[in-house]
Amino acid sequence: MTRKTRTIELKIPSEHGYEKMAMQVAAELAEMMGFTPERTDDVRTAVSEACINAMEHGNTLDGETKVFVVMTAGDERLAIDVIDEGHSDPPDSEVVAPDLEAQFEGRLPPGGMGLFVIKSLVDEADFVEPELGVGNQFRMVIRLQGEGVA
Amino acid sequence: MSSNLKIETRTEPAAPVIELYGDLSADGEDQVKEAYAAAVASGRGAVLFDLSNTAYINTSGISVLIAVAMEAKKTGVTVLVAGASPHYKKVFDLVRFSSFVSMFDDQDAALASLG
Repeated sequence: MTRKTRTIELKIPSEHGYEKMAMQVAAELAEMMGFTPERTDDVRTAVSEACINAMEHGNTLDGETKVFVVMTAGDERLAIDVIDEGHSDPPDSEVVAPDLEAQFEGRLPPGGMGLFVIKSLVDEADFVEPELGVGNQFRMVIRLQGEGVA
Repeated sequence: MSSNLKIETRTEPAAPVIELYGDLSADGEDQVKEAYAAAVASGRGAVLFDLSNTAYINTSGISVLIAVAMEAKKTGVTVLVAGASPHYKKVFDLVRFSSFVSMFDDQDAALASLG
């Protein structure tokens, strides 16, 4: 049976904590689509990290800005776009594993893990051309039969 | 949005146990560091963080634990982490946090490791 594509849109403030709103909605949607609890947890964390990146980097935690989250549920996949207002350019698409050794030794400040975690948890994740022509648009795709990380 | 983290600390014979309830994120940094400083003042050489009741952890929260573990390393204190859910254990493994800090399924296993 072919299901209709359904889209849910959210607009959240660029303030720590509100990423949980997007995270909970994405998790509910993933459950409705039939994702396993483990994959739903992956979706939850990926959405949270993408929203935090958008708030902190794309919107520089400016309280006047918003993060837009567009979730598109298809037959076999969930696509989630996280869009900021473009206060900074997107990072390099090449993502390397965080150097925790350097962080534990104090040679690097703690952090820089979000994008790596997202890319590890979902089937596709990258910045795409912003459909609105402004801001940064980060797209994640999670397939119902996806690989994920065990 | 204010921190949604509650912390309870109690002292077991082997080490102080810092139990985190709610969210472990950047907003809880000061609370976690204060709890660690108070726990380490007990004079024991180890501190256990229990995440059994931590419903939400993001990578900023992991960075908070890294900062605490860095501080601990400088002063010869062992930091242990217990009780992370299978999902968050996976995230800790992904970023290799668990290569630098010993992680356990629960408090009992962590405290037993201290002898």
